[in-house]
Amino acid sequence: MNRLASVLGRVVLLVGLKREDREYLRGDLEEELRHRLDDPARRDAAGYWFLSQACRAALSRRVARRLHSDVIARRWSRDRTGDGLMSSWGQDLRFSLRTLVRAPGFTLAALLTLALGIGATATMFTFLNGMLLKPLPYPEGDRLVAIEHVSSRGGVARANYLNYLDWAARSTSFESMAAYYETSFNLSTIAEPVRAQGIVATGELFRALEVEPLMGRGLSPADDRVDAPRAVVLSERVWERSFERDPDIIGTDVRLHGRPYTVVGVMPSPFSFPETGDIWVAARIDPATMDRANQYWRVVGRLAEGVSRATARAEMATVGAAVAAEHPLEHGGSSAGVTSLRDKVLGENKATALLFMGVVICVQLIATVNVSNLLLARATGRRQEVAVRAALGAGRGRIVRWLMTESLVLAVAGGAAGVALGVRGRDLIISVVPEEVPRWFDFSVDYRVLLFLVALTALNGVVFGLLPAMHATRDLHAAIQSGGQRAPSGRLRLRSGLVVAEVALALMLLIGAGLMMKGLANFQRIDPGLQTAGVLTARLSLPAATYEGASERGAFYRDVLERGERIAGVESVGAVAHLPYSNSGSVTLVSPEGFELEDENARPPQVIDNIASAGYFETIGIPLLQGRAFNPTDGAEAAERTVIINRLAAERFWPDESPVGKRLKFGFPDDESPWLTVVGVVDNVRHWNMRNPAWPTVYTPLGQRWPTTAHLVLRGAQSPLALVGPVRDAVDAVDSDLPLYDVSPMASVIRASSWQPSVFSAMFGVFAALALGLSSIGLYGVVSFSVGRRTREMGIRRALGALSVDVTRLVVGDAMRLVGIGVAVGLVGAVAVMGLLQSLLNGVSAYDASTYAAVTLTLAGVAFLAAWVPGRRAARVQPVVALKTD
Amino acid sequence: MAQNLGEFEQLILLALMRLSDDAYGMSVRTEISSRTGRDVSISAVYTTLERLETKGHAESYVGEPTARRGGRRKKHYRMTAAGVTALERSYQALHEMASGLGLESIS
Repeated sequence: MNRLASVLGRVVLLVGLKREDREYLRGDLEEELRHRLDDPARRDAAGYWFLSQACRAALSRRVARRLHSDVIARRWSRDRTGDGLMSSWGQDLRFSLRTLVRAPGFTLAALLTLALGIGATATMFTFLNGMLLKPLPYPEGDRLVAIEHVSSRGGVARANYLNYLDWAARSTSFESMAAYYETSFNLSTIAEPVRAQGIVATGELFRALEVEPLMGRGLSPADDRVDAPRAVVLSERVWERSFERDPDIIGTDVRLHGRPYTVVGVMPSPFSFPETGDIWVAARIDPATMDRANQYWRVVGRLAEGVSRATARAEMATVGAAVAAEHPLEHGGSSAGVTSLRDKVLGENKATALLFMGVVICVQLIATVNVSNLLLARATGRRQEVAVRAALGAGRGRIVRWLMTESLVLAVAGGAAGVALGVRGRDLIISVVPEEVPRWFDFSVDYRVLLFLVALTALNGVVFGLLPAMHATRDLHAAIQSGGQRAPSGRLRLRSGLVVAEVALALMLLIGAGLMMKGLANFQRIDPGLQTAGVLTARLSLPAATYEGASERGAFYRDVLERGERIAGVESVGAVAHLPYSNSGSVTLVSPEGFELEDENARPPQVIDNIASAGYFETIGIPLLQGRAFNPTDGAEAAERTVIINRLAAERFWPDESPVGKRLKFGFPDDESPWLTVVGVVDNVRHWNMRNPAWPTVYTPLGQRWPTTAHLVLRGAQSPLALVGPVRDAVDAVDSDLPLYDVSPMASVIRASSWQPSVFSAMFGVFAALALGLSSIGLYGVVSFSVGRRTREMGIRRALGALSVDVTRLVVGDAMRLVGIGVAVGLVGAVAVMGLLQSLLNGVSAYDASTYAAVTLTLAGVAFLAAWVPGRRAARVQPVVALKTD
Repeated sequence: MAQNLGEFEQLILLALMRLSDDAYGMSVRTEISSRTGRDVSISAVYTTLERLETKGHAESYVGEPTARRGGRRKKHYRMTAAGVTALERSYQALHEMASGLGLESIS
């Protein structure tokens, strides 16, 4: 740490000090640093000491240099050393409050601007803090990593169980390593059966997570043996919801998927693993029965003390490759990768959050620039006041401090309002994001958020206060001589520069928002490929213990579908293994008849492998294009095995002929699997989500295969929610231990899978509108200000015969020149950074010329208005009045 | 110079007196902080030294570079006759004002 602090200190000195100070002052500091580093008692704090001295030197030496040359430096020096320092601060404070209250228009404008800017930033920062900065809810959670299978082509996949055992045995970077896979359990309790998410895990899991149980114990490696009694650990949530916090729960039996499990422990809230998980069951695996090829395990590890992720990554790359090399058939060329658990969970959300933080910082910058502009205008109006104070003996430092106090008061008030707004903004965003936020992330306002906001507020106060204060007090001599009449000429240039910056930033944000809106429009035009009106869906999952084979499952599905049809108001009923847009799906290889592999390394085409009942297509409204739909005779006993494919599969496999009557098989062409005859073609559905294109799909009829998990689909004449009760009853009548879960109208299923584009573009739109509003106000302020200053010039022009139109044109022309420069800068900036948005745009190009043009015109139009209003005022100046003003 | 010295200026001048030939920014700082227990920033010391120099109470000269300073030179300061006079006058004034109040017994 000493090293880092002293390097930072040197950077500060290099940047902060003037050349003439650097040699002696830095030499002194370096010398003392060495002394301290040699002294064991002071060594630890030496770097910080150096850094703090460097910062103080950089700040005060700059100020001292400037003041030294000032005519009244000596008076300032007396102010500084005088003991009235604190009491004069209080005086400044009281004076600032009084003057701010006396100019309510200015104060309100500044406060509102600040509150909006800081509020937006506060909102985004609470999210960023929750996702990226707060520790995960495990002791030293940043030592937890996900270990994944990395394929020969670099893709990341789940791991194989036997590979996991080899990884754990051969690596040294980890304190412990556990494997698990997610599943949902039917938990039958005294009351009604519930569905709960949980995982099947090896006994190492709780050792890796290191969280103490609330009661009982966590799973241990002893629970892992095949012959160990079935053990389950519950979350406090489940314990409370399903067992009413029964204190004697430890040791009792619960039924999961129809089998008895003994509760051995309860984990305290808010513990969950993975992000949402309430039930932990020991894997009880005999490695001899495991297969080297199946990959459905996730692996989590705790890094050993002092081992970095990079070290672990390097080790696992080697270990993973070595294990894979021993099993070339299953894993040839693959290896293992290490990612922090946090990054794994955040996925692409991290990039989105950072992107929005960037957007918000732009809004914040515009707000700061605006307030700075307001203060500059105010400082100019107070030139006389400043001159009088200087003439009465106030030194420059004293005046700067007085003006700075005022801006700090503004900043603190604006910051407080901003925090209040920010908390509301956070709640608003959480309320529009329907997806369950992983319980790992906690978006409460903690000390980090507060610290950040205090720093942001202080920085704001200094940035927007210092510039005007330094300007107002520049060349006090001249100010005194002219009695405060003549303003230094540099000021307008500075203000113009600020306006150019504002316009550029606003344009970039607006272009971003425009692109997102266009992307959203594109997205909303996407046809989901099915009819959602009146459709209710529900999911169920058959426990293997009671539904072992095809006959049991077949009887169950037939019974449930029959009862479903008899529900009053139901028009049709179907069942499907994987419902579109529900995050459920299975992919397989398929070989159409006559298909030949190009070479021995090639693979047959990949398709979505789905199972549908006879009524499914009609119920969910996927149109049949050719051939026929399934009918009850397509069951297992039928002589001919049949399938239905979607349009994409038809076009790909049999481009120029009708696919009806053609045959295909699952797997490779020379596999033993039976030939399946295509009897119909249905239209495409984007199975995964709205953003991904449709996949070729093969539907097998329910009856030839019976899935363990399926979605029921029912279409009624009225609201789908009216069917919820009757469907539950129908399933209950067949098996009262079986819970229905994910019960929701099809329309909500689609909404839940596609909320992001609308929320993102709405957020972007709000921020961009804010930016446009703020920068228009800024432009208006600058133009008004310059018109005020040029009243006399305008009067002379009018007196010499200029028409009011000419005057307006002059003013607006000057303003639009600034806007033009800002637009040019903004366009260049936009082209430079919009590529970052590409993934959120749903197919709209990040360089879409029509959006750029439309947004630029809008901005120019608004800017024109902002300049035209004061321009009109200038034109109305009466020559006589103008000439009299000076 | 008719101006009186500020308290910090007095401290610095006294440090210059104590250190004589070895007076430069850091040694002045160390002298003041070890005797008075005040944590003074090096930049404040330099600012005041420069001010004393412009007032004519002190003067500076540049020393040789040393390895311990990373090859940088030292800027030494010493009091001028005017500085000694000003310090004496300040000290005298303080002494006059304090005499008879029993303050010496406290310190």
